[in-house]
Amino acid sequence: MDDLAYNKTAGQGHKNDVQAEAEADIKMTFTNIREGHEFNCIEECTEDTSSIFARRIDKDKLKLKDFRTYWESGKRPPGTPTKDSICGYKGISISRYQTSSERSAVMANFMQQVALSPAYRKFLAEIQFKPGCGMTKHTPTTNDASHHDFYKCDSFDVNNVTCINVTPL
Amino acid sequence: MFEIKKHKIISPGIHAITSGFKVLFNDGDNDTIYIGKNKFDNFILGVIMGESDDEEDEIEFVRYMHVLLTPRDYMSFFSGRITLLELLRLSDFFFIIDKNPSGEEISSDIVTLEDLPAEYWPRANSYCPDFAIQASNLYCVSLHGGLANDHLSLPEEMSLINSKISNFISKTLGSLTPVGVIGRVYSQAPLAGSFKLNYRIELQDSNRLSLFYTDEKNIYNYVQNLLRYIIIDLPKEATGLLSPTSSDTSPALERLSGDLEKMYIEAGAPIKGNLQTNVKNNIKRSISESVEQLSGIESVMSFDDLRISNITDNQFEQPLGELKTDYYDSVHDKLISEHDLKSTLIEQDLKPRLYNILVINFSIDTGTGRAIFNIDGIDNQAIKIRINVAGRTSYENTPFTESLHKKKVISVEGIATRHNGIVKTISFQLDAKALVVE
Repeated sequence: MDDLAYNKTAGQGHKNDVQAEAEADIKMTFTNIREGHEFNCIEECTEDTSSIFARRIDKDKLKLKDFRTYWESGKRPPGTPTKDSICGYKGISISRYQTSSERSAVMANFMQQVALSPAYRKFLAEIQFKPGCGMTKHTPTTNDASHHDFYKCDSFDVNNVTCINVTPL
Repeated sequence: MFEIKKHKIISPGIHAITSGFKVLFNDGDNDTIYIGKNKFDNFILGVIMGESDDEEDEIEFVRYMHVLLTPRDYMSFFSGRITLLELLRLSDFFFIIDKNPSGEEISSDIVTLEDLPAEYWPRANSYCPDFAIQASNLYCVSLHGGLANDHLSLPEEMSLINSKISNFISKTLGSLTPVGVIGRVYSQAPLAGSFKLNYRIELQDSNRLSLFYTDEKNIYNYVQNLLRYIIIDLPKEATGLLSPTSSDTSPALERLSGDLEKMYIEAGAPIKGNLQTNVKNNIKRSISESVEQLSGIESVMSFDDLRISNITDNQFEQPLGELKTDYYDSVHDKLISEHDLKSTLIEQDLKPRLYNILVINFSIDTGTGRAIFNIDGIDNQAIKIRINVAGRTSYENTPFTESLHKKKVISVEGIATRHNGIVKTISFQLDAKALVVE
């Protein structure tokens, strides 16, 4: 399999021919993610179109800039590049929750940040990804078990995201 | 006398972090809280304020505030006693730093809180976020005031402090015994050139199963919160709160109880009776035993206070608070009395149980000796205990002498006496069944 192109069944094992044929049209490429380093960031990723993800944004409406990566901002990881550091800069940080208690934990985390920096990204967008726009990987941190990286495919557009809710924090 | 011009001079670079830069939290896009020191060795706290607006600003930037902190401000903020808003109100000025998207500084200005639009003011609850700092098993104690300010100390006092603080930290682990965790506190060599005492907690799984159920991270957080309670909250608590018979509580004690209760449940701790009462009593006991270790600290003359910090996973020195030399006296009447601590702690098996022991010392005349208990991890702890054997006039050619001579673990029925849940002595009756393990 070409490591730059994944169809939506990646990471889900074998599917039957009918399903594979039906899904073949949603093929994603990740040339932008692959560029500039030697690591395969898409490895171990899955396409998650059912979970709700949260991300702090600066306006009450989602825009493409809200999905800009560290790498696209011109930042590069310090020190010797590793897969984790490079891929962290190539992905977008999002928090995933599937239950109300997970949502509460994520919100509690956000609200502590808001108390210190109330004017920084003062809205919370709750989103779902549409098929064929990118892949996610669970990348928990010591202070955020819900943390995921989202890797945009080359054709990613903000219209690929379903905005469920935007709430002022 | 010459005249001094009344102009405002701020040394160039006073706002900039030049050493010890540590990011405490990055939200995935930006460093949102960080700490470091400027070229004058002042602490600087950096907090994100916002980003440029595509529609209003010509260039793209991220805006931060840099706040100069005195060592006391630093301790107050990171030990959760003061908010960022209060810090700014106490500061005559602070700095606004704009950075380009790749993190390089593009401008800096000096401001006061009143210069900021109200929407940029930190909120009334702007405490240091707990998620920004993950407790570790490393603690550091620095001495301040008196001789310590000259980097001196009397050797006998230093030795006393080292031992007292080590026991003080160690006793906080007592309430974790039902979780199956026992621990030791080691002194660790300090960094070259520093006048600090360092301690490391090493956890052991007493029944070799429970750590599987109890995340070490939760244990370290709990120990840190317990120490913070002792240092900061206990002096403010009502007298009588820690009494085992008191049903009074406080918000700070409730938080600790909630954390410990969760660990007890996760680990399936063997609790008799009401779980919440047990949890609270174990915390109260642990606090009292821990603080008792500080008795006598008021007699030291070479310093005025001790500052205790946790060295977090990202090597940040997170202050928990300071212990003045009169601390023990100020809280002594709130502790469970030594008499209550001892008299309520001793428990004995109601009927003989099978124990695995390895005898290491034994008198065939008196039937007394010492043994290592729990070689096979069947019961509670792998520790040295006393054994008392009764029922004969001589104890030669018994399973106990066989264990001693052949270095063999034996499984024998006896009655254990526990102090604070820890087996201290096992008594055996040789009339009872005694089986040598093959």
